[in-house]
Amino acid sequence: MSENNNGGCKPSPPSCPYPSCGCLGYGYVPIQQLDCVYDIDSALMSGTLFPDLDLTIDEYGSVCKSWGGVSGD
Amino acid sequence: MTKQEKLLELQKYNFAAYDLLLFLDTHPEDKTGFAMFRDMVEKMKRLKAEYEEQYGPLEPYSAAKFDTFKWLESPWPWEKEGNA
Repeated sequence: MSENNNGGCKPSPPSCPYPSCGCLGYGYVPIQQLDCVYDIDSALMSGTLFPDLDLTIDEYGSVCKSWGGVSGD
Repeated sequence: MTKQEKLLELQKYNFAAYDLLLFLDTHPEDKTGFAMFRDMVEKMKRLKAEYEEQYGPLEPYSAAKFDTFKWLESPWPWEKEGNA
């Protein structure tokens, strides 16, 4: 936390390299990489063509954490 | 392929093509994605033409392809027939 000297305080850059962790309070969505895709039968069944988007809402936390993301819990 | 099977196959290609369209919205430069999209749309169009030739229009504008106005003839594509 830098010293606050009546407005002279300059915001310090984020400790981790931008944009991988983004800025404080600034929403950041990583860009999707096109890896493998489902075949069309499973795509319709699972509701997406992209396996990395095929997550239930409660899987989001744990799965993203295992991929290096920070989960909410 | 029965009528229902052909409709389901068409839905699969249509769904996949649409999901790729959403991907291309944010990745307009992605060549692989675009090639996949073209391929899906090609198959979708072919299946749709086949279906319509055999079972009539799938959407109102396709009615223009026929000699007479068939759009009002039942069953509509989404209506389940007795044995379907």
